[in-house]
Amino acid sequence: MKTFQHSDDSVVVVIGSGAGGGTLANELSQRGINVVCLEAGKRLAPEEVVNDEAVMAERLTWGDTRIGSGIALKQFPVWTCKTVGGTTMHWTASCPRMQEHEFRARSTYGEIADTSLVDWPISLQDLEPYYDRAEDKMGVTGTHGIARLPGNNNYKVLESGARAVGYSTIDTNNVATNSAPRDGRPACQQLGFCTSGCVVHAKWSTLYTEISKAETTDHFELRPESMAEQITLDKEGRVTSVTYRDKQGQAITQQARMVCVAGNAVETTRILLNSSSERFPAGLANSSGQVGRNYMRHFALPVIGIMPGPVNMHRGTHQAGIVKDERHHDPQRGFNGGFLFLTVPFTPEIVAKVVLQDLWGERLAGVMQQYSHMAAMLLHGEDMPQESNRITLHPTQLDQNGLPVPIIHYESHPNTEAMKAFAAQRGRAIYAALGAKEVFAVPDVFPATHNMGVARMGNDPARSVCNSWGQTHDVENLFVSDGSLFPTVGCENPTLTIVALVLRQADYIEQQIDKGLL
Amino acid sequence: MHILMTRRGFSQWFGRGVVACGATSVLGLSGLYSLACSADSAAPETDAAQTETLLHYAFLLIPLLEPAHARYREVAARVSLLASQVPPMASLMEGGIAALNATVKGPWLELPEQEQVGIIQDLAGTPFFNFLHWVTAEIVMRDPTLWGKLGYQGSAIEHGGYLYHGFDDIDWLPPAPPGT
Repeated sequence: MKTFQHSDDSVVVVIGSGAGGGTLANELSQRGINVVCLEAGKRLAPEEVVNDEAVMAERLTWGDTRIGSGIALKQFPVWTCKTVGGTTMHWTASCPRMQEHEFRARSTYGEIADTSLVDWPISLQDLEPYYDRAEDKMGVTGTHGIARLPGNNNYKVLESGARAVGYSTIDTNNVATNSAPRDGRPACQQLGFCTSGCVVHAKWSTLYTEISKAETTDHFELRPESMAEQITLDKEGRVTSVTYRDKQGQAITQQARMVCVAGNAVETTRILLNSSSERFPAGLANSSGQVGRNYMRHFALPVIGIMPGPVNMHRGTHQAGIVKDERHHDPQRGFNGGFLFLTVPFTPEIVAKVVLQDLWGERLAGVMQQYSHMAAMLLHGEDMPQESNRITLHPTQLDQNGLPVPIIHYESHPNTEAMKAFAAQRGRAIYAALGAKEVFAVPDVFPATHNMGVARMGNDPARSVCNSWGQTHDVENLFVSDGSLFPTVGCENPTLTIVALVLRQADYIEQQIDKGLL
Repeated sequence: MHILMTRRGFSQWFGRGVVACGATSVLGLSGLYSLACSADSAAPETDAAQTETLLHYAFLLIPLLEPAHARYREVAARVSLLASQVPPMASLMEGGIAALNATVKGPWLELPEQEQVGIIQDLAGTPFFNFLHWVTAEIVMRDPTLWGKLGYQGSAIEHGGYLYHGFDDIDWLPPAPPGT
């Protein structure tokens, strides 16, 4: 396995090994560009991934202190992963593309009070070739001639109920989970533990796709258990190195020709804000004051129906089921943007502890005894960017690495609240149409898993952090390579778009290097 | 997706079985990590009446197992252990138990069950109620013997996955309309 000297300033340092960082690192190393990838978490061996939610939650979760403010959950405002592969270990592999109008949110929705709504600096057409490449790379079902997964029981309930209320855009989704063996990985066995890491590797995760492939080149070194702390800048305003803590807690400085930050929104914000300098006293690449601002997420609204017959929702792939009839923009519904219905199973523990946390006693016991008859879905929709929704660093409180604790402040915009109320009513209707005995739609019980927007792309350096390639306006050899780039978020699961953006970024970096500009 | 935390403000460190109460705002997950390490040590001496009160409270919150089931005792032990190690947890627990007993009718544990339930109802949504609900749900719902009764089957990898074990065996749905 290739290793690089700490003094080797020919390397690109990529911070993070998830969908953004893992993919970018592989793309660059395949092109002969030397990469050192720093990952805060451990590298799990295949036998350390097991079909046990409680065990895997401990192994995958980013558990360091974070503080929630506003309606963000106080002690656990976001759910992200600290492990090689990042959140691609936990994700459900749901890969819908964003829609054309969602790249033009400001033009489509008009001015909305208390938002910092903008259009993307690129269009769907600009991104389409990269969506294509991303889907091929990840093996997304329903694209490139790849068959969709068969529908499981939970899907069949969703499909039937959705048809009964008049919906028609219903299928087993585009998922980066193999329906047949592909790219050295087997077909999905409908195990039902997608979010606990996929034991058989049918689901795309950078741990055993991008990272493994990068390691076959002579241009890549992964350093797990390496917590990035600071990026340094020289007098000319270029980044020159990254300092991180290794697993012994020792501070190490790796020289770099270029740095790409892909730590998921919270950590990407933290490292930029923690890297202030004379030139950038408010944080690296933050002359705009926009780093950490416009933090967006998708509401995650679970709906559980107690159906007339057995469903056994736990049997099968989590999000191989989608209804897209409400994802368009139609202000007649009372809000801007759209939302999706996706299948999702919950274990008895999550039903009782989280979703139905307001029930107890005989009432809760009575509901839980109908577990086998439960069907469940998760709804999520477009969020509005607001400058006041932001990630900052605690002025005094430090974590175990001596880094300032991040504070995640989030308040829900009235547009989101209106959409959520409408979505809950539609979700209920789907199960009610099949004669559900009872339906629960419970908002705001989950921490945010889709975290976006804190270093957004744009053409105006005063209102954005990065250009359309993810290159920071302020520092030419510093890139952001994760969902932090999103100017707006659409209603779709973000990972496919993150991968498409970093594929585009990799092309740009290669061209700039070839031209001698980077 | 899985969840460490709810809107009630509790966090936990899965697998280590440690829970802290957000209402006290003293513990982050990193604080829990070191607490978890010490939690592996011997259980504290606890007062028998306190243990009995906690385990019966837990049973009434989620009555899915026999009242004297070891899982409810585990709930009581975990809560007592946390209270012995984290001062704000001790006051939360003591306050929670005192609230149960703050009735002119005598100790809560000795009341008829219907009255016990009525008192819990009055305390629903208080920090200790929420805390105990969280811990009880976690411990009781992880009991594999309960899974069988509820119809949850857990891991299927040992049998080749649900692909071969009923992932699409639903038989009561109305027929799909023609042409779909």
